[in-house]
Amino acid sequence: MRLGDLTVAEVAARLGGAGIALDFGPVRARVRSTERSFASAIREVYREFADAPGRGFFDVTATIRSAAGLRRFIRRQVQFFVDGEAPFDPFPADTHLPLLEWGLNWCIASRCNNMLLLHAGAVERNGCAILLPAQPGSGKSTLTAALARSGFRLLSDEFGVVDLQNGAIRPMVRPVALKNESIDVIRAFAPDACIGPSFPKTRKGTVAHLAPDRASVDRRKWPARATLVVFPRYVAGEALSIEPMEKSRAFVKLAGNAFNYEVLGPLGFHAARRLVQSCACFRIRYGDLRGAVAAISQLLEESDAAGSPMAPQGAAA
Amino acid sequence: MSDPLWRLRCPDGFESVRLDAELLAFNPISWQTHLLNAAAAAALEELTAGPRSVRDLALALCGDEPHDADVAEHMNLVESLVAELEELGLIEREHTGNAAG
Repeated sequence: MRLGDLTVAEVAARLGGAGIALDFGPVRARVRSTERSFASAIREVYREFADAPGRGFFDVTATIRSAAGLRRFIRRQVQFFVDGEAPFDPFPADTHLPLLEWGLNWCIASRCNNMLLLHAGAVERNGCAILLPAQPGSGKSTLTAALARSGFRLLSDEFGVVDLQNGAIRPMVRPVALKNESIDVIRAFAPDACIGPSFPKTRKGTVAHLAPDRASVDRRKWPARATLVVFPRYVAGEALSIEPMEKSRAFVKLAGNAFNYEVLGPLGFHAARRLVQSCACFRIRYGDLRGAVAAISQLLEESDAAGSPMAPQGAAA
Repeated sequence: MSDPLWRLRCPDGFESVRLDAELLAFNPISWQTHLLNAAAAAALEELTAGPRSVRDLALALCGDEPHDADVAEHMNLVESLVAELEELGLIEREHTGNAAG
């Protein structure tokens, strides 16, 4: 049963008990909390995910719970615990979901060294993956969300996951974190999109999360062939421009903003090398989201890498 | 005094790949990756074949029919390249085993 099919009370009961087990594709997390409003938020943005309980290994066991002491009563705060430790300072109690998402990002980035983790959005169409690596503030999540609402399968918003064995791009399906103006931009772009509650005054401003669609969640074990690497940059009012990028420069940028390139040593070198050699690499600057989506769709159509879908990895839920 | 020989510091784990005109070189000791321009790439690739002196490298960079004047002109460039590659930890001076050194 999917979280969206459960009542808030049922989700809250599970969070307060054994926890909700979420399978993102290559990573499984168990989440626990006794915060009632957190149950409502997580139900909304993870609505298409099944609670996948049972035994088995969890890469992350996370708990969101009230901070201790006076903070239980005055300007309530919550803390992110992972395996019993609290790696971050407490957050205001009404920012529990952003805290969970950032906490999960931190856990994945620091633990999952069986794959190359690029800081990139990723989408797929016709078996071909497009990576969108970018620095914070460059419009990566907005563009990823727009592509995911334009016929592309969402692979990931935060992590471009490169399989070290075969170079495929693996999904890491989780909600897309939209910030500030991009929340309304995506609401206008895709009025039927499911966007969870807005959390104002976080450390990154107002944050809201786009729920992944059912097809992307259900195909989270299906990798895709690395085909395009597109470095996006949103500049307000700027006309669309696309230029090919030298592979050597693409390599340096990819490795430079990866979470674990240097941790992986030669494995990271081989994975990044194979990635840039197998992909066409571009820079795109845009001020209009629809124009950027159309241009990226066109780039993919012009690539000759389309082919049969890759086989799923692990058991699909 | 003879021209010293230079060699890869760790040939076993050394990895490199040509991308466009440049070379990405993975240093197996530091686990750092370096982007080298065409001249440095050519020098490093020559060293993957075995130890070379600065003059050997200058000859190699001059092409198939080197003239003495060209080689002399390249010597300064190669010396600075060798110094930079050594600083990156990619190459080292070959030890001859002579205690006097």
